[in-house]
Amino acid sequence: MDTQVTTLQAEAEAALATVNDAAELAEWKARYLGERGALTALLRGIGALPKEGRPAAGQAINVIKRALEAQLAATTERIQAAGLGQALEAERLDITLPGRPQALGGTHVATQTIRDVLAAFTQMGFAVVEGPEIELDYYNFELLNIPPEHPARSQHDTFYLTEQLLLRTHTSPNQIRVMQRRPPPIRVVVPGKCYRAEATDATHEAYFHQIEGLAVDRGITLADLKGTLAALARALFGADRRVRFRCDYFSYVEPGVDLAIDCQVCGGVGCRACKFTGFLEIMGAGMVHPQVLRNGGIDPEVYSGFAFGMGVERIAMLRHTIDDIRLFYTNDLRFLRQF
Amino acid sequence: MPINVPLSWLREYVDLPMLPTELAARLTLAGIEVEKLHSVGSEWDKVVVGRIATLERHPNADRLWITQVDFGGDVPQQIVTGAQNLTLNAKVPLAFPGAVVIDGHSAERGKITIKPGKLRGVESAGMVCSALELGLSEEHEGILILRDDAPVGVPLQAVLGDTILAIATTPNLGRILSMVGVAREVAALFGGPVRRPVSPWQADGPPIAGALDVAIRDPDLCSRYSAALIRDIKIGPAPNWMQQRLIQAGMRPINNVVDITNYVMLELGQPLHAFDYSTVRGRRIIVRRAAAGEQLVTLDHETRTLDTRTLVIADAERPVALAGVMGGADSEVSDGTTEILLESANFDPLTIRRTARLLHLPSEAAYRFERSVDQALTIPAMQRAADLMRQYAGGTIAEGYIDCFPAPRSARVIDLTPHEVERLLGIPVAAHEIAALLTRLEFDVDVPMDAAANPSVPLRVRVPSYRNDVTISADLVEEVARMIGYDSIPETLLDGGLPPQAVNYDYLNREAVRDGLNACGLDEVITYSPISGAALARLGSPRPPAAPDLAPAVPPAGKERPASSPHVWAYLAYDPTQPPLTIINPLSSEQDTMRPTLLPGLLGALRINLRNNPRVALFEIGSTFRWATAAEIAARQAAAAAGVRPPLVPGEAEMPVEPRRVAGLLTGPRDPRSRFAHAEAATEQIDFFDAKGVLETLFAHLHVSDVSYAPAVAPWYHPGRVAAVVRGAALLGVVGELHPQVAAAWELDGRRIYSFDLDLDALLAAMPPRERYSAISRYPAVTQDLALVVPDAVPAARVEALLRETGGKLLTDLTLFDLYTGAPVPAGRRSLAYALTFQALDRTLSDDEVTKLRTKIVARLQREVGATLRT
Repeated sequence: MDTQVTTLQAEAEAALATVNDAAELAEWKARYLGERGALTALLRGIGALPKEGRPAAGQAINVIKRALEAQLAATTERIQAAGLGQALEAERLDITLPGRPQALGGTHVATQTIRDVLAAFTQMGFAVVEGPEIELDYYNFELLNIPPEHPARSQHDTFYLTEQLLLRTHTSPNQIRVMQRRPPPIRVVVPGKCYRAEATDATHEAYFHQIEGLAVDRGITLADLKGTLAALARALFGADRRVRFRCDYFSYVEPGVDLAIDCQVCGGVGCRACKFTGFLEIMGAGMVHPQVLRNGGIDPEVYSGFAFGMGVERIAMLRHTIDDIRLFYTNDLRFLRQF
Repeated sequence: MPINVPLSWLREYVDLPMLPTELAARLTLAGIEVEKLHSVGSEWDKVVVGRIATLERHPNADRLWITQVDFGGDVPQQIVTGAQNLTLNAKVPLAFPGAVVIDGHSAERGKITIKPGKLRGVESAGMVCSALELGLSEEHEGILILRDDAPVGVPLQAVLGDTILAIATTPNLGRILSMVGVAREVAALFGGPVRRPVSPWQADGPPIAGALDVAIRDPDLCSRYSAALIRDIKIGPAPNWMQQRLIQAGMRPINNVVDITNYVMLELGQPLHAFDYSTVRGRRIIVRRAAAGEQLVTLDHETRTLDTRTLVIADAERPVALAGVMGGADSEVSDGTTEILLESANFDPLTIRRTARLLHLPSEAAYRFERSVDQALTIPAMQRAADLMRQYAGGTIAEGYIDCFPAPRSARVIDLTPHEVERLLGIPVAAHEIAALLTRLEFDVDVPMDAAANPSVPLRVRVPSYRNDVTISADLVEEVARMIGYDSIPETLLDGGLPPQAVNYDYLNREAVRDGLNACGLDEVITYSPISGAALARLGSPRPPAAPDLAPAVPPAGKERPASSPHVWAYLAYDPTQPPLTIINPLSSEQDTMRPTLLPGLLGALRINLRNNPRVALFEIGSTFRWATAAEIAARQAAAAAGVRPPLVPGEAEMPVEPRRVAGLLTGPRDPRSRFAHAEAATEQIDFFDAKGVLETLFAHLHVSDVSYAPAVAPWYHPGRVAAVVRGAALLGVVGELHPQVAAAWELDGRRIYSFDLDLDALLAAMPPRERYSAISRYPAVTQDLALVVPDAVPAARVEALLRETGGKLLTDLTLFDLYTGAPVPAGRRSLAYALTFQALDRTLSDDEVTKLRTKIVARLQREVGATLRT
């Protein structure tokens, strides 16, 4: 009996090792563990044994049965896993085929630039405000120290709607509009469209965007102007940029400032892009002129402030190496979708 | 207008030990922007100084000469030339083969490379050059004769080379519009003295007294008028060196007298004018405003009609010049002129600018007067020019001169405290240092005894007469800053208190609109605000079909309001009955009107992009423009009177209104081309429901609820495919298919274009400030389909409204999933199939409850709109 049991175990185990799929496994199970299987037959054979030998034989058979059942479970798992693997393999894709396109639009590169600049300033506590695109001559010029026939007017070729009404040539009138409405401390940035009646070429557009800024409080200095605008320049163009501040003239600031960054094309050595100066101008700025503060209803003896203005397209051209400002208003998607 | 400063000229007045690049950089940092450094002669490769060693006539040509030119080599160079001005031993520019010069015979002034050749059988191994060929001037009559002491054989650049600074001149820089002015700045920045030209006054002619009398009638416009008389003048060319300098500075030589006036202007900054004295009638000069309608023929032979704001120089009978702008033709210096009346005057900047601008007569003189000229300059400049005329035009200066000076400006004195310097610059600068810096700029600074100890003690600063740009203490602070250099001021961050901070919902929400439309597949464009008025007028033509139940098609000024029928809205992109906002001086008729609607710009952008893309979906967010209504003007006036807004200045109440809008256009295949778009899908075109779907998605993104779509009459749209977008009693805008005539007006005939156009302000106002949370049920939902057959005339929105109303709170969602017409649905009816979701917050719904609710819904729809269940 013992021999029979051992032989059967060896045989069953050998057979199980050759089982490859679910059908063969069922067959194996029927042959060895089924109601008419070999083990059942052995169990039945116990009755024929002497009484004292029966418990031991039964025990031995049960041990084998449990062993074979355990192996059956393991093999079942193995075969199921193999089957799933095959099924999944049959579903293999060419993952290099193109994906299903989703329609997605983009924002205009000028909008993106405005967002970046405003984000940098709002982090510094500046609020975003806006003003009218059709302005009064009084706000666009006179309150900014540019009376009629002032030579600075020749720097502003102006579109007129009436004698009084014009298309603003810069966002600077909002310096006054803001000061008239908010008491210091003031920190604002003003994005918007501007208009100049001048012929267009690769670097001049009659229609463009500016971002104006104004900070007014007690004790604001040129050093604050430098720190704030250098922080912006580095935020927009990279932390390692060299920033140059130089004296410049705008009738509504005193002292006046021009801000430039080192030329990215030549690395500051001098090239055509920077007119061989090594620097690219990015904005005008300055300490708010005392008369402009007064025009805004603020006492220049008590308060001081700085103002700045930058051309959005100019900033975008430098950041994205765009060589023709006229591209901004072609609205050609082959251009717009690059950004 | 940049000014050109040749360093060879500047060097006469100030030492220039620094490199030109260093000079340019320092000037630029100090506010005098050097735009360009032009190196004259850097292109003169293979051009040297030669000496005419022999000169003989060409045997085969009358007009040609053969010359051996010595250049220091063993053998002279043989050159054949047609120039007639060569003399033995003259020093000339000699160009060897390979040198590149300007082609004097081509109108385009192209460049040619010199090659050895033969002229009428005689070898010529190079060229002797004219000034034009070297790019020095337009002079091409003869060879450029160099100074006698020019060393033979040295490169020409060593003799004639120069560096020219092109300086951009901001409006405050009147003081640097001369060589001496630039020299002053250089001396202040680098140290060293300024050498002003000194002219002896050798006046030995008969006295001016009795020969000329000057009267200034309008001293507000002419504060000073100085004049000299120079006789025995012989008109001829100015000396070469003077012509050369005028050319380098960008002016054209004319004759000795005119060139001298221009030379002195460039040297000192004082514009001068030379009259032919013999044409001045009555021995009188009167400076006065022109009489209205008075006429003057100017130097350019144009007859100018003047007004009373123009200042003229007149003689006893008539105007002879436009003061500071242009001389008169009658009194012009001509070849026969022998007596010169030399004018050196100071005119009012605004008057000069106005006249020059109105008459389109920009000039070097006007440019300087506009920027204000130093009153103290009239006499030195007059004396300098008279002396040069004595030297170079054979003149005899009349004894004495005229100096009418009715309106001298007193020297300006400004108090400046070191405290103020620190308050604006952020760094302390000691009183003595401020004084030192300003003194270098020729300010006269009085430092009180206690100034060193107390930064609030003011320094008294006397401004030089040529610094009309310095009027207040802040101007002096800038002078201090640019002298110490902006780069030596530190960078600090604002450390004062923050202004009150608030989330800017207006800005953020507008950006959310942009993002929402991007996510719907629309690209943002930004188009010109000025558009073609004519194109707009053409668009005015499509009219709604006559409909008896409609009010007149055009609603009153800019107001969108329901037409007479309660369910039909009238919508106009703009009101064509209102006058357009037109630009007086447009760049072109394509951009002469401020847009009252975004659609024309969008259509232009659409058309451009359809060339390259089958599917185009665009939107723009921006201002539109219209005149204010009487009510709006009154409201502004009331607000100002109530102190709600700042007081109004003249014209401010009437300022135009700038309504902000968001509009979009969609056309072409619905899906982007791909391998997934099989033949049928690829031809599926964007339709009305895509456009409406964009709005529905956008509103969901913005959490704008309760929007409905109502029938509308909208002239620019397809009458059967347009909806008013309505929220409560307000019209948010419109969505629909554009009228074929509108498409045709943009040469997009036959193309179906879908459009939406919304009032951005109304849309942003409809956004809830904060969404409120509503509870989510923990109990299972029951979904049931319901197919209803309804008469065609019943709008889907009505069915949906009834479903929601009857379903109440338990009906949590419904989706129309099928729309069917045709057998077995009878004609005149359609089947609408909805998936209804029922769910309760507090319990699991029983089948019984759901069935009861569904039965109630069906009964209600049957009763109200004649719906039946589809079986």
